[in-house]
Amino acid sequence: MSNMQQDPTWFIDQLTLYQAANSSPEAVKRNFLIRIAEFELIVSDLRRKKPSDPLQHELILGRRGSGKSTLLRRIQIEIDEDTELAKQFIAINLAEEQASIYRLSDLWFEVLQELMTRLNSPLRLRDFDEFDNNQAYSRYLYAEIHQLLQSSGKRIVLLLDNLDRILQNFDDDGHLLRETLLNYNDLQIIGGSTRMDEHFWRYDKPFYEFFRRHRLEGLRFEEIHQLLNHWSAEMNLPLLHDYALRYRGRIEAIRILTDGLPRALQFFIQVLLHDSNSYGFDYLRKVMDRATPLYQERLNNLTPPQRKIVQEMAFWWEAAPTKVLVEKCRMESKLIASYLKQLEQYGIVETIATGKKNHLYRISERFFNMWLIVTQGNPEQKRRAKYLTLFLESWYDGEELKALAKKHLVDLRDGLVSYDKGLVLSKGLAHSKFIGVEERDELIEYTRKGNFLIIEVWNGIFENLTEKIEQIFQINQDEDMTWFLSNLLYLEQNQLVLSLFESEQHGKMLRERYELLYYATLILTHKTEDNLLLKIPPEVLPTVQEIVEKVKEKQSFYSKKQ
Amino acid sequence: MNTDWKDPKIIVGPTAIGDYYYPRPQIEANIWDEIQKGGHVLLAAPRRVGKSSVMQAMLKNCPENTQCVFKNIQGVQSEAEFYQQLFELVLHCLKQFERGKNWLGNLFQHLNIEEITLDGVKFGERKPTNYAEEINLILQKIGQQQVKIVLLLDELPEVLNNLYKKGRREEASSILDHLRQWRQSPETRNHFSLVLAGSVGIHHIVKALEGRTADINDFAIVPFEALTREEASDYIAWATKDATVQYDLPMLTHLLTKINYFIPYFINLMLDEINKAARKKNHSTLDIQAIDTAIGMIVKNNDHFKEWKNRLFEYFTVEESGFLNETLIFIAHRHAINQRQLYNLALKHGKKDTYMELIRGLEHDGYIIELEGDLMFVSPFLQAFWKADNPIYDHV
Repeated sequence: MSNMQQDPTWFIDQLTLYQAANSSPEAVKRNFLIRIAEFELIVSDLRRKKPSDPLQHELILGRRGSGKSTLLRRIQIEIDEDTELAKQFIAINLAEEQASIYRLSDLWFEVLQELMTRLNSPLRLRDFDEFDNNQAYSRYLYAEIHQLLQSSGKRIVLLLDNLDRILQNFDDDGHLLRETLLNYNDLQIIGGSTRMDEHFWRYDKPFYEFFRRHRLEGLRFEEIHQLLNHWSAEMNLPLLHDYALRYRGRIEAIRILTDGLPRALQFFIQVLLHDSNSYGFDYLRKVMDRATPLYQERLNNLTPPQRKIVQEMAFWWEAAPTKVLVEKCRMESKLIASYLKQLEQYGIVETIATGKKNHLYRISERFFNMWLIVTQGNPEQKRRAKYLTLFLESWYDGEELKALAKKHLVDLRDGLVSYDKGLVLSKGLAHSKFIGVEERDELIEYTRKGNFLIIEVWNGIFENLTEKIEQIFQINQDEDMTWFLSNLLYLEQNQLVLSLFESEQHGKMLRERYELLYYATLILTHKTEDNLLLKIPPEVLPTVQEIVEKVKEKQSFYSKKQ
Repeated sequence: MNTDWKDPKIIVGPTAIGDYYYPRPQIEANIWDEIQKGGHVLLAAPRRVGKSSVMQAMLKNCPENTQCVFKNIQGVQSEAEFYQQLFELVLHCLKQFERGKNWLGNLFQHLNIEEITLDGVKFGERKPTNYAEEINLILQKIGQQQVKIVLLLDELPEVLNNLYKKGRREEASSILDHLRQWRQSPETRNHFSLVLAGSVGIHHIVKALEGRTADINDFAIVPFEALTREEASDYIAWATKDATVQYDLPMLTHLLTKINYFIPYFINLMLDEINKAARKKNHSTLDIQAIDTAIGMIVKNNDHFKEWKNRLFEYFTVEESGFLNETLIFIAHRHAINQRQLYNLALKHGKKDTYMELIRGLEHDGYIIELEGDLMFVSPFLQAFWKADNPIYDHV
């Protein structure tokens, strides 16, 4: 039986098994393909440290599922296995014990237990009740750690996932922790955190600018390609080999709409292996289904009014001012403000300063936002997500464009395509970077027969333009018009495209289907008032900027030609 | 792994010590001058400028018959704990004289001490019940000998501030009283010096506690200035001496233009960001674009900068935040604001009677610093953020 016909959870099971077998240092090293730069930087810094050199405390910032724990584990293995590093350092990774740490003394207690085991130096520790207070007990525990380290001639690298949560509970202990780290140069913290908590940036907090920061960004396309090929080889899945190259648009759409999270990529592959015939939005919907247990739990932990705000904010998709939330949630603005504060503390909502008193708010984890739209949105909201997926796919998908071009050529030759439609589609395809020179010449040859709109605009002919555009709309009602709108922009018709997006007759449909192109048009026509750039969701902003750049580049090219 | 790549010799955040310390001889000399005169020193500067590094470096240059000890004490949570820490520090300092000093042996015996380390003091069966009194006693003994001890205490203002915030004002005041008493005792003059540094301005705390700052007027204030342009160039050459990414003159000039206020921490952030990007691309040759990208990345990755801005609007009234925000926008665009320009803005916002108090608040919170009468951003990155957030300014 082929892998694809097996149970849909097969891949995740396989991957989990694979990762649990995992956790064997060899497997972790073999599968460590991303976050290499961060790993090398941190480890090379450790490598060159002399015993008297100051230790560099590191903070790894990344969303859930972005690979923080794996990076910490990889660093731990390197320290354990590298002879030179192991001579100087002892890596302690308190992954499981972290849940029980809420005071500094808990942290030092766990570190001391681990250290005694690793150095094979059991100590008879004094009891907690022998001390006047917890502070004195914490100082005592660290003094014991310090003495063990002094006698072993080593220093500790303490790997702490969720460092923000630990510090959040520390309160006064935060001051003592900083004091200890500065007075004793024998323990380096490498922490993971899902967000830049106020402990790390507030001027009046102990750890203000104390850590060197490494931000784990979403996966780049090249990294996904590398990962898929690796999994293809490791798990004998030929379908995955070069899949990203073959279906770039699909991968880009999933990557952008799921924040480039490695975890989301795993869901995608699960879907892919189960049903390789799905197309476009189906993939996204199914990827979201896989994420349901994770996100449903998060949603269930909120109170009903908090949930309401989160959902409405997600459906709005752009960053929203309080006014919009008041209207959508039908709640008082004071109440909304207080819930927003709580949601921000949970890390679910983020505030975007506008430079004025009214801020904008959005769901901080964009994958979660898209999950809410796809799983909980009404038909219109879901349709919007669908169009967005389709747009991203067609924007990036060279392969499918090539296929489309081939089919279109056949249709042109056989006279199967209507005059106007054939014309504009040819023009659009001819401009695609994915279409080869020969194909392009052939397309132009076939389309030269017509005196079609784009060529007219190209030649500065604008007679009866409105009627002609209307005709094109009639003919292409259900077709992808990205090429048409893009080409008008390439030919410097920014205002014309803006008027189409704002037209009474077609505006709503166009804005819904080509939202990113609409944003790009607003930017190109300098309609950026009311914080447009802040409102555009961050996951699609690079694509919008890419469109703007491409349009400018093309405009410059065509203006030179003329 | 790319083992050939050499990172710059920098530390981002923690105290730069040992080989990572870039010497600040003038500041060290100024502090020693005051100590030699029998005075006590206050290092006044915002966070992250390198006060702790200088204090730790001083340990290596103690004159004859002088012993120094450095400690960060920010974890101290009560008056009693403070005296205990101070007592142990004094003993730790004295222990360094131990060889050949009989009086010291007798003192340790008298105090029933078994062992002294930086972690603490181990007593025999009897241990002190009142550490402040024991400190009195020890200081008197020191006053009778040809020795001097220097205690370099980091973050004392933080300790006082934390006590104050918890409603334990009396304890904080009492610490200040004891410290004044020990400083001003004629018997210990020239035998005991305190060097204090802290991220929270001590004058601000003392004023909050005592209603005036006269109690600390005997401290000599040693200003902690940023590096000059020449020193900053030298610092970069020093930090990147063996590094893969090298800075030629045009790159160095461009980098310094971007940083503006030269403290090693901000220079390190830039060197680190540039190195990270170059490392990722495995491309060691630097160009202007790489430097500009690095500063852009730092601003982009410091998404908490927006919180600095939000705080203005949260903690101040609409009129006050309007004035402060415009002042910061002004500085962001023109690098500094002088007193006349500041007054002009204050008038515009109807704040002529309260504007300096508001401005001091910004200084206290680490936004800006006063240099030769002009106000400028402490962080070049916060400045870049403020400018990016308000790209156009032509209102004055």
